[in-house]
Order: sequence, then structure tokens, then C-alpha cells
Amino acid sequence: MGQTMCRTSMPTTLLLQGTLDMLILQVLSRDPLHGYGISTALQQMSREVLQVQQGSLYPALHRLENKGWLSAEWKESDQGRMSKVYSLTKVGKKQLAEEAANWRRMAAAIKRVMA
Amino acid sequence: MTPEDRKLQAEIDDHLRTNAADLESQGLSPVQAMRQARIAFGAVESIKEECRDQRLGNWLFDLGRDMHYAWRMLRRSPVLAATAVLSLGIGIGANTAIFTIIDCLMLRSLPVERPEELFAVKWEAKKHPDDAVLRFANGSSDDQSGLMVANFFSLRSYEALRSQMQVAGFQEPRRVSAGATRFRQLFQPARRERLPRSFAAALR
Repeated sequence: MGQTMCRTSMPTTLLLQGTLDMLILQVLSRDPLHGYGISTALQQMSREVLQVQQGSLYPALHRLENKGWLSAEWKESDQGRMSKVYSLTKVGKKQLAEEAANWRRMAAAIKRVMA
Repeated sequence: MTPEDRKLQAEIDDHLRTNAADLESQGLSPVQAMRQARIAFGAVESIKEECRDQRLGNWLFDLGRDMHYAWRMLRRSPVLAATAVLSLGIGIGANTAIFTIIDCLMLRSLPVERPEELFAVKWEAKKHPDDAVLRFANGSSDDQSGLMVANFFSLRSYEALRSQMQVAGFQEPRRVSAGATRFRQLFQPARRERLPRSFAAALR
């Protein structure tokens, strides 16, 4: 998945392999967004801890679109520009539920070990 | 530029402009804002390449472009191209010839049923047995040296040449005397009906 991560004023944090897909699906489960919107939403939702580099984000978006988890359409933005807006498909929702369940299981297990 | 590439470029441009607009609203000049946006985005061409790699069937497109590029390069230096093609041709031809010979001599089994049961039986003798009738369908007899070698012999020849024979099987060749009893032992593993007629007759 290439370099999947990220840095802020906080110490550099590396995303676990495979979590970028899940995070993109989660962000899009709220509202359809364009690439820049997804990037800033991830940053805000993680309170500036996660900052996805575009080198990882755009290939991931195209990959998820090819897999059929995301659909995309060109829409005119408020500034009058055409933006490619991504949204979650039915298959994508199912995939998100699956990945979220896996993630919760994994996080709980790691938490138990680290306690 | 393909339509897909144009869309990808438009998507990246939109990202840069939106980011620059955000930075402008924070007080940066348009030029500074765009510069910052470009730095934050990273290497555009490499990201575009990674996005292309995600497309379905992109390998076919890449192959087409590689072929086109190769053709252009070859046309640019025809002598080099001819040398390369000739070298490859000679190399492939020589390899094919060598493999064909090895295949015929060593790899391919004879077109008979149960080829693993075949034994090679040859005879050689330093002089003509007095009463031998030497008529070989395919063999050789050298009158000069007196050495007789054949890969076929008839029952009459066999009976005439009881002196000694050399038999080669899967093990090292060994010298056996050509008695009918030894012959029977020798061919015990093989089915008698698969032996040449002359041998089968000899075993009776």
C-alpha cells in the first residue's frame, strides 16, 4: 500500500497496513467528498494526528473505485469548479462493516495485551 | 493524453486549487498559496503513475506504449536493431537445434509399447564363424579388421555365433556367453512376445 502515513505537530504516527482503506470508507460513510475533502476530514476527525499524504490517498481512492467500493461523479463545486466526488457504494458499506468489526477485534486484543 | 489521464489531471488540479484557496483564506498570496499546495501534494507525476497502475486493464495499455516506444527506438538505430535481431535469431536457432538433437537422442523414448523393457543386444566377433550366414538388414561388417558389429541378427546368425556376445541393458554392458539358457535369464523380466521374432525363436 506504499507509504500510508502521516505526520503532524505530534510525533510521527504510522498507519497500520490496510487501515487507510478503512478510514476512507469511514469518512465517506458520512458524506460524499472529493479527494481534498477526504484528506482534511481525516485530519480533523483524528484531531490533527492523522495526515494522509496524497501519494497514498489518490491511488487508494482509484483502487477502491475499481473494486466497486466507491463510486465517483463529477460535480460543480461552490467555487464553480468541477470536482470528482466519491461516495460509498452498497458493496463499500458492507466492506466497511466487515473491516470495522475486524478493527475492533484487533484493537481490543492489542489493548488486552498492552494493559 | 487519454481521457482517463485528462480526468486524473483535472482531479489533481482541483485538489491543488481547493487547497490553495484554503491557504489564501489564511492570508497567503495566491502565488504563495499555490506553491504551498504543490509542495504539500508531492510529486504529481509519480502519484499519477500510481493512480494509473490501479486502473483495470492498465497493463495492456502499458504494453502498447512499451511496444510503441521499442519500435521508435529500433527505427532510430537500424544497425543496432539488425544486430540484436540477428543475435537473437542465431541464439534461438542454435538452442533449438541442440535441443532437438538431445531430445531425439536422449529424452524421447522409442515409439513402442513399454519402452522401458527394451534391451540393446549387439554382437561382435573378431572373425567370421565358419558356418555363419552373415546377411544383415542394417549392420556393418568390416572385412579389413575382421570386426563384425550389427544391431540386428537373425536366428541363423545367432546359432552360428555362439562364441560370445556383448549385452547392454540398463546396467553397465557385460559380456555373456550366448547360450540359450543365459538368454532366457537375461530376458526373463521382459515379455517374450515383445522380443524380436528371432530372439523369441531362440528362447524356445
